[in-house]
Order: sequence, then structure tokens, then C-alpha cells
Amino acid sequence: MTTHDALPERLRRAFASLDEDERGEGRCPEPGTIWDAIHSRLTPEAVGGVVHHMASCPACAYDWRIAMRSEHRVGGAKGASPAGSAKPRGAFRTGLVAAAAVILGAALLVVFHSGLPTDVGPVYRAPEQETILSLVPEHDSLPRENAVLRWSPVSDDARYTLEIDTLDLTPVARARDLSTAEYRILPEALEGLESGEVIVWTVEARSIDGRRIKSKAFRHRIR
Amino acid sequence: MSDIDSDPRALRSRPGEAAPGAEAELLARFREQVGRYCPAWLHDRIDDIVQDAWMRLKRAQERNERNRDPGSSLIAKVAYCATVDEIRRRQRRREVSVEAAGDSLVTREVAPDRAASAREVGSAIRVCLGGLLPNRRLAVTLYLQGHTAPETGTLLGWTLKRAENMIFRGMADLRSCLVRKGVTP
Repeated sequence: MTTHDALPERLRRAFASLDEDERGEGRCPEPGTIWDAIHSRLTPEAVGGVVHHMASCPACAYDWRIAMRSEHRVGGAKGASPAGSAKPRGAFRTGLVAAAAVILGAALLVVFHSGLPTDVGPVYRAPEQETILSLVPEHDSLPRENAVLRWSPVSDDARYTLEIDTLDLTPVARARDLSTAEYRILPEALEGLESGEVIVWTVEARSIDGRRIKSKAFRHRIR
Repeated sequence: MSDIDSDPRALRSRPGEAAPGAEAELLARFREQVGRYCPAWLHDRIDDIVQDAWMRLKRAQERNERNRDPGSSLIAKVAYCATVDEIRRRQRRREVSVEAAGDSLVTREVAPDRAASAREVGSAIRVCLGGLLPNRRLAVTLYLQGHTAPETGTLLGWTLKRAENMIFRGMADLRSCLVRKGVTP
């Protein structure tokens, strides 16, 4: 790791080293609000409000880092390292072009020496989608007798786990090992919900190679 | 499409109707979750926090019929809230000694002089964050907390490209500010 690569990590450690009992200006958000923010259960504006406070409040920054241990949070299951993610895409693309040039050169060298026909070269697939999007329009309310959730499929072999809760995290329904990117909520599961009540749903895809992708939380009213 | 994991009606069964040992299982789930969120310096309070979390859930169940059988997300949230409330109570009472207070999420093996240096840089970062443009401040704060660009985009409702851009520009601003203050992280 170069000095430059290590810089973000040193900055993170320095930011985390501030006394966690030192409060910032203004009222600290309740723990439940921090939890909801990090689990994308608030509007982006409300999340922004919490983060804005956290920038000047080491105590709330500490509480936020504790919430990051949650396996339910956005990105929580993946454990991806943030290092390097701040690089502009241009640098990434430059790297890709260089890598492609090396691969192409190596492939040409092999073809030249082996005399293999060029039509048996490697097949390159487009990168698979790394996010799951809801295919239900964001502001649509769902009829309780036919509440169908749809999302963008990840791959042909993916299996999906779906969690549907109310805003207070009461489970409404769970479905596992779904092979298609849609699910109809049984009307019985919605019996206890009042008209206009909001459900929150997330879906996690698991590919046959073990790769997991989790969606953000989507909300819809039940009518 | 495959089957439903759970019958939705079963999800709402009352504790009294559940199998014996269900409450013990619930306490075990709370203990596991509290253990996940509880910092080392608070480990002597885990039993109390678990008990507090359990009582919170009971009260919520009394208020809300639908909370009779909690899901894993609710268990985790209640455990987190009980833990953080206990941390805040401790901080308010100043019960934590100076040495114990250092037992935070930051690595404990850091030498005292390096820890002091890190805090100095941390204070400068905090001041510099206050001077960043609002969106860059949000992006850099999440980045410093360890979030990736895609996570930042999801949390703040931005596209990935915008999140990357805000982090990149914000980090450049932060570095410039630190240099102006004579701080070399």
C-alpha cells in the first residue's frame, strides 16, 4: 500500500479517534433515528440531516459506527472496503483500457504462435448488474388483494430473499429462494394493515457463485 | 417462484401461544445482538442492556398488537437502541474513567503519542468538515465513517457518479484545508 492509498485510512482513524463523549451543537438524534438512517428507512433529506449533525458530533459519529455493525444495513453484508472508491471513474476507465490492451496483446500472441482460428477466442460478457432496482413505480400504492412486488433481475441463476415489514419493523411476510424477480404478497399478510399504511421491502440476491447483492429499502402504501 | 418462508399469520402469533422456551430464545437473540453492538468497555453491563431491550420490546408489544412476534430487524434495532442509550447514560454520568473511555472502536494498541496525534488530526478534520460545501461535507463524512461510494449514493439518494464526484472533490477540499492548517495526517 502506498502512502497515498493509506491516507484515507489514516484520516478515518483520526476522525474516529475523537472523544466519543463529546457532543456537537444542536440536539443529537435518537438512536432509533440513527438506526433508521443507516438502514435507509428515512428520506435522503432526513439522512442528510443526521449526517450533517454527525460531522460535528463525535458522539453521534461513534453511535453511527456502532450501527454499521448491523448485518441489515445498506451494504452491510458485503463488507466492501471503501478504500479507493473515491477515485474518479476516469482513473478506473484508464485502468480498464490498459488491462484490456494487455489481455488483447496476450491473446494475439497466443493466436500468432499456435495458429488457432480466431473465431474460438474468449467470450466476454458484460458486467453483471450490481444493484437491484424496484420495478414498481416509487409512488404507486399497492392494492391489498393483488400487491405485486417486482425488481430488476440480477442473473438467470440468482435466488432471492424478500423481507417485507411495516415502518415499525413488524414483519409482514418473508419469502426465500425465489427464482423469479417478483412476488405477490398474500392478502392475508396484509389483513392487519390499515389503508394507507406503508410497507418497506428489501430483496437480497444470491448468485450460484455465492455473490450477494442487497437492495435498498423500498416503500409503498397499501390501499 | 418458490414458497413463502413463513405463514404470515404465524409471524403474528402471541408469545403465549408460542412454543415453550420461546422467551428464552428471544433473550438469547437479544444477547447475541447486544454483544454485537456493545463496546468492550461496557461488557459488564450486557445483562442489564439485554434486560432493558427485552422490556422495551414487551412495552412495544403491549402498545402494538402487530409486534407480537418480532422479526430479526426489530430485535437488532431494539438491541442497538438499548445499547446506545446505555452508552449515552454512562457518558452523561461521567462514569467512564479516562482509560476506559479510550476503549472505543479505535484500535487499542495505538501508542499514547500516536493516539494524541490522531486526535489532533481528528479535531482538524472536524473543523475542516464544517467549512466544506454541504453536499461534499455529507459525502466526506460518510466516507470517513467507512462507507463506500455506492452506499453513500443509496443513503443520500444520489447516483453513483454523483456520490463518487462529491467524495472525490470533498476529499480534495479536506486535504487542502488540512495542509493550510499545517496538519499532515
